[in-house]
Formats: sequence, C-alpha cells, structure tokens
Amino acid sequence: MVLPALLALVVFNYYPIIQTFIYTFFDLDLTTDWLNAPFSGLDNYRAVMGSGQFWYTFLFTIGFTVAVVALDLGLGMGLALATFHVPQRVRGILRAIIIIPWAIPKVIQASMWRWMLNADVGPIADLVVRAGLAEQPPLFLVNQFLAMGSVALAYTWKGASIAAFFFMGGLALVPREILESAKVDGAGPLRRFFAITLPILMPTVYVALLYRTQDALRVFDVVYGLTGGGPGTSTDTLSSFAYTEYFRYAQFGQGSTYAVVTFALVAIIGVFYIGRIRRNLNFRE
Amino acid sequence: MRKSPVIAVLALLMIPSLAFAGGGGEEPAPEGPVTVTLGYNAFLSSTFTDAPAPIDAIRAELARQYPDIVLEYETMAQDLLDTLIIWMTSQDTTVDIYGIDEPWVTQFGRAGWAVPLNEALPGLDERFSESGLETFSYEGDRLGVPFWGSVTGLYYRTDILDEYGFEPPETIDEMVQIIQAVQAEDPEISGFLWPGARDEDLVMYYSTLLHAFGGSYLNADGSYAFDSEASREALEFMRQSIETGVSPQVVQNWQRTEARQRFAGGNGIFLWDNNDLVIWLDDPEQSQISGNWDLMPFPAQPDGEEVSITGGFAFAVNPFSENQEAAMRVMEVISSEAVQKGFALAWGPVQYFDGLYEDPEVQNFNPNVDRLIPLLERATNRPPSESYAQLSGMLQEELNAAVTGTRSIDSVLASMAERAQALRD
Repeated sequence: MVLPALLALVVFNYYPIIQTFIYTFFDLDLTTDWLNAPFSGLDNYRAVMGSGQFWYTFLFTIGFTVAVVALDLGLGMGLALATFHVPQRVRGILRAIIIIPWAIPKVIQASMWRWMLNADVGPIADLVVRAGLAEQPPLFLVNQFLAMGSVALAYTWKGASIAAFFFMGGLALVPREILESAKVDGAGPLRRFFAITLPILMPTVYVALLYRTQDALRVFDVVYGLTGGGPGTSTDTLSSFAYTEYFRYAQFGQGSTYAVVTFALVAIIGVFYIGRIRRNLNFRE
Repeated sequence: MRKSPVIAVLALLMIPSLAFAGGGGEEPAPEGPVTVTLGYNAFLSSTFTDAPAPIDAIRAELARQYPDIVLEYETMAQDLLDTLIIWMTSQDTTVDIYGIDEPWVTQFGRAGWAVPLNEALPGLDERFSESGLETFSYEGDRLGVPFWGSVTGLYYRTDILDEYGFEPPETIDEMVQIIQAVQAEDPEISGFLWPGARDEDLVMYYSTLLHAFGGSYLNADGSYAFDSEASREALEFMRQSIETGVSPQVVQNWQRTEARQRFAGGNGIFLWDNNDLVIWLDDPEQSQISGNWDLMPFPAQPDGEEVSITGGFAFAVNPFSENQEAAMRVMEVISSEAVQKGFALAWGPVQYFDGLYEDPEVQNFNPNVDRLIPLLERATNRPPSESYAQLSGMLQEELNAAVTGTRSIDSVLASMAERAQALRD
C-alpha cells in the first residue's frame, strides 16, 4: 500500500536532491554538454566557501532566522492566547484576522509591504512622521539596517500568523479543569502559563520552532519582492544566491552548490531540533 | 464482478491502438494544418490603443500568407527567463518560438538556445535597421526578429521651463542649474527623477551617465573601464543629486514605474526613462502633464557623448523545436510589414522595421514618433559581455551600493572593475 507513495517520494523529493548534489561536482553552465560535463571535484565548494559575500550572506541569514523565529513564536503565542481570552463574540473575528496573513501568497505579501513601507505614499512612513518620530519619512528600504528590519517585519507578519495556528491547536488540548484548579489555588495568569500551559504545549512549540526555523533559513520570496537583496547586497539570503546563479546566470554547478550548502544548513539544524524534540514527545508505538 | 467496469474501460481505451496495430507499413506523413506554438507573456494579447492586440495581427497575417499553419499562443509568466532556462536545458519542445530580451542574447547565443535566422530569413537585413538586428545577434548570427524596442532619453516639462525662461539643457550642469533655480521658487517640486533600485534600469542609467561624462565601457586594451574617471563622475553625480536635493531621496529605492508615476503625476521637472511613455503621456486619464512635456537625448557634459541606451524584445526559434520549418514561416510573418505595423499600432514604438514610421496610419497612432528620431540616432547598447546576465547582476549590486551610500564610491569603483575583469577572465 505504501509503495506508490514511497515511489512518488523518491521521484519527486529524493531524486532532485541527489541530482543537485551530483551537479555540485561538475563545471556546469549553459554551454556545457551535460553528458560530457567536466568533473571539477570540490572546486564549486571552494569557490562558494572562498567568497566573502557568501559568508556575509550566511551570517545575515542566520541572524535573520534567529530574529524572526523569536518574533514569530512570541507574537504567535500572544495571538493564540488572545483567542482564548477574548469574549466569545470577538473570538471568531480575531481568528479571521489571524488567518488573513497566512492566506496571502508570499509574493503579494512582499508587494504589499513594499507599498506599506514606501516613503512617498506608504502609511507606515506617514504614521512615523505624524507621530513626531521623524521629520522626514524614513527610507525603510534604503537604509541598510532599516531594510533588514523591514524584511524581518514583513516576514514576521505572516510567520506569527502561522505560529499562532500551531499554538491555537496546542492550547485547545490544555485541560481546562487543571487551569481552573490552579486558579482556585491562587495561581496568577503568568504562573498558570509557565507552570501548566507551556509544559503541556512544549511539543507543539518544538514543532513550530522547527518549522519556522527551516522556513526562515530558506527565505526568498519576501526578500526578493521587498528589497531585491538591496541596498547593495545587504539583504541577500542563501536562497537568493542559489536562485540567481541557477536561474539568472545559468551557472548550474555553482547554483547547485549554494542550494546544497543551504540544504545542509537546514538539515543540520533540523536533525539537531528533532533530536531534542524526540525526548519530549511520546510517539505511539 | 466489481472489476468488470474497469476492464471494459481499458478495453475501450485499447480500441484505437488495436485499430492501428495491423497497419504494418510506414506511418503516413501528417496532413492538415501544422501547429506552431509561440511563448510570450500575457502582453501579446494586450493592446494599449484601439488597434487589435499583436497576437491577433500575427494570426491574421499568418492566415493570409500560410493558411495551413495554426499559431498557438502559450501565455508565459511575466518573467520569462526562469521558464526558458528550464525549458532549454531540458531541450523542451513546449514552444517553437519564444520572446527573448536584449540582455539574454549573449547567454542564449553562447548556449545555442536560438536558431540562427541568417539563412532561413535572408531578407531581414534589408527590412530592418542594422542597430535593431545587431541587438539580437551573436557572433554574426541573427538570433531574433525584433518586435518592440526602446531607447532612453530625458523627458522634461515644457511648461515649467517656459515659465522660468529656460531652454532645454545642453549639459548635465545646465540641467542641475535649471532644477536649482526652479526649486528655489518651488521647493516642493522634484527635480530629476530616475530609478535607483537594484535593477537592470540602474545599469542602463549608469551607462547613460558614463558616456555623458566622457567615458566608455572598455579601455583601449579591451579591459573594462568601470574604474575610469568618467565612471567616478557618474557615480558621484548619482550620489550628489540625492544629497543636494536635485533628486528626491526616494529614488534610491525606485524602480522605473515609481519614477514615471511621479513625473506623470506632475511633480517632476526631468525624468530619465525610455520611450514607453510617449504613447500615453498625452492621455489626460493617465497623465497630469498632457501637452506639457517633451523628450530629448540625455545631455552630456562638454567632453561627453549623448547616448540613448537600447532595450527590447525579439522572437527567437527554439533549436529543439520539432516544427522548425513551420516556425520559420511564422517568423517570416512576424518580420512582415503588416505585423510590425500591428505592433506599432497596438504598443507604440520602437519597431526597427525600415520606413514604418512614414506610414500615415502609424503616424496617426503615434503622433510623438518624431521625438524618437534624435534618440534612435544615438542608440547605444549596454556594456558588452559574453556573460551579460552576470555582468549586469554584479553592476546592479555595486551601483545600488553606491547610490544608497552602503559603500564608498572608491570601494564600488574598485570592486566593479575587479569583478568585471574576473568575469572576462
């Protein structure tokens, strides 16, 4: 029964990964005769590792991931908790608001934020000036650090919504009677959250952490649509390197190498997380 | 019993195979119409005037000249390049003809991803201008039939210049003086608008400035001259125009559309752009400056050169097509006066078909076409490279770093020269 599914998994998931890995050992570009492609050993890896821009981008991607995952989970948890503590009639509206960012495609999300952050006509720049925080509309996508923050903000807008989904499901499983008993015993909201809700929720937190980390490490659409990697190369990410080499420059060997390095990074972090999660999960035998 | 419907369906599916199985001899040559598939984005079925969309013009002329060829239109994504790279590397035959953008020509030419047209369409050189065909040529091979092109220039507001008593500027310095004089009276007005985002347009704008300050792409020994004095002046002008308020701060992140919108909205004195605007800038529904603008070659400094940087699309034939002969007939039709005129009527200039703009109907649809002649006389291609996509990508990164002040101009100049040379080596 599982054979067709297994076959589909091998053909559509594992075969492209193995093929991409093989490409990294060949000097492949648009002029190469693929059947007689010159073997280049580890040259592509040396070129990637020897590139200063690669290491800058690597560090930016890691820093970006740490920041946005923390924001995603923190805001996501806050939103999820809010849906359980607002009056019943508001709950549906709040859940609908949470679902909207999730439902918007990433490319449209990027365009939307590009407009929101526009210094000329964007509402955020206008609000900053009206609030007296700046005399001139801030150039969110021009200043290096503001651009990095803007990318993180736009990414988190959707990421927090996805994390909230996870947490709403997890919170629904927390037994109400335990929380009520703790309340009767005099435990405050913070105590109840950290002593009861969070420990029960930890498996969900780990899964959300793994999912959001992997997604952030592979970020592409939002950056591509919002800053295009600029100003200069300030917001380039590992995935944008692979995309550019492969689909803009047709440097298939080099592009595959960037993709494999990104994959390795995601896989290492994934394996580390899963190792941690296993200790906290009870799988059905 | 439960399997019987499945068996019946399978048997039905096998009937056609069984019917042909006993033939034994050679398969007869297919008769009837041949289908050629043309791949391009959705624009081909769009028109910006009352004239029919270009795809309809092509089909009409094809029906007249080659009624046995049916043209299918494969609507591709707005950005064709990703799909084309995947198709070409996998020798895909989905499309027989596809649209090719000017920056991709060397890449596709090197890879053999476009069939040379020299022998199949020998009359091209007689019907099209040399500059138009050369844009889509690689090592002497004509790879594309151009159908839409562009040249860059300087738009300016005639009403503002008249009001303040200025003639159109003859140098960049004069342009700056005009802006400063107008802004002294009207500080809210934007002076000079251009696209500073990390995009291909920034490379084209830089190319314009490089020549305007007396530079060129290459040194006498063939090496790139991106670290020349003229290149430095070009980058310094970009930065200073922002720092001094000659250009608004927001140009640093502007793509072409945003610069256009502000100019067409009436808040701009000068705009660097291509000829796209001439077809709608006099339309009061789209423009606030109808009748109050003009277009001229971008001015150069006294020791510089006025240039208009070219752009545009052509159609090319897929080398893996199984219908190359029929595809060539479609290309012949696309290169005809009727179809080129169809593009001019629906999309406006520039087409490179000789004598097209002397046609009264074309003139009627494009009343501003005379404004393009000085620009076409100064038509200049973008920096030459066997790997233009990489060269352009590198220049976009470096130029945007200079424009936004992310890195110093010295650092950018050195890096541009070093990285360009590395690509050549």
